Amino acid sequence: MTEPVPHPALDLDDAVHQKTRLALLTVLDEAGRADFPYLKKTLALTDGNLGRHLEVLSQQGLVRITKGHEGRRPRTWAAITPEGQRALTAEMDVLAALVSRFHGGPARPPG
Amino acid sequence: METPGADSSPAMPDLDRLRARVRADQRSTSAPMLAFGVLIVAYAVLGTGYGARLDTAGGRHLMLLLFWPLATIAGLVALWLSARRRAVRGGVGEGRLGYGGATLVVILVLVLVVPLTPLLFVGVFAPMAWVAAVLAALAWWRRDRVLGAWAAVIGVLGAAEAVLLVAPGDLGAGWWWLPSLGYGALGLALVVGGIVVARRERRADA
Repeated sequence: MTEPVPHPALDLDDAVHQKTRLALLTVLDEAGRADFPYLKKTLALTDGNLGRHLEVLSQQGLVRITKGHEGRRPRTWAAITPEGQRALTAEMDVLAALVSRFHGGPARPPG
Repeated sequence: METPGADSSPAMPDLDRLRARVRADQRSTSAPMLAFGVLIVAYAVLGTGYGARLDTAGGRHLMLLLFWPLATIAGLVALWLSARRRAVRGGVGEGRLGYGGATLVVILVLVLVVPLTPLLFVGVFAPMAWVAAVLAALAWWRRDRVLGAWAAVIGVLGAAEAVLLVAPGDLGAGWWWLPSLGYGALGLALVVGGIVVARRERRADA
């Protein structure tokens, strides 16, 4: 008897799967890095919400936060790390596997 | 109190649209089109009036030989500087694989490969094939379909030009300006296309 293939949803990473964090990683994957106001505007987030999501991603090592100054103005940049890129790719693979399964495609492990 | 796991922000679920928005903010498609469109027009101008004057000094061949290697580096450096300026002003980075890396790759290829192969002559006998190759590399590097389509069109025209050059028959000395006219029209088409794309990108910003 063959082992049942585990459901792909079990492979979803909570830190990445949350919709705002997934959107943040997607923007940073495309932009490489972005500053706080750009992320706020693009994703329509509040200061507090953005800060907390970035903190979660930073604690997981998926995003690197750099604080600096431009003239007298403080500026915070967020950049995706190689781990963040890998986590985003893995998440996309799991989502693709879920969609395939939903449409009656072959049950296959993600990645 | 807000918690990271339970927000009610209207973050867009459509990730492809989100990527397209970032690319629009980076002027990812229009900037290379404008830069290389202007360079093609400059090449056409040099090929006619100024180029004819260079010919008397024997510099025309040198100009034809060096134009595209130097213009490619100049174009990529211009794109790199404008992307850096956009990052400082708009807060959006130039992407994981930026123009700085592309410039270094082109310089390395020229330094390492050119002395060993007649690659420079591509810029002389099929100049548009050179432009098409650079735009195709940028399109592949930045996963940009529009840029890829322009590279394909320019590549087909460049290949047709190269075939016509080696085909038997002669247009005659009176038709020397015809290729320059073609380059000028192609360069202008690329610039106009770049302006149209830039307007679309700005609208996506708003």
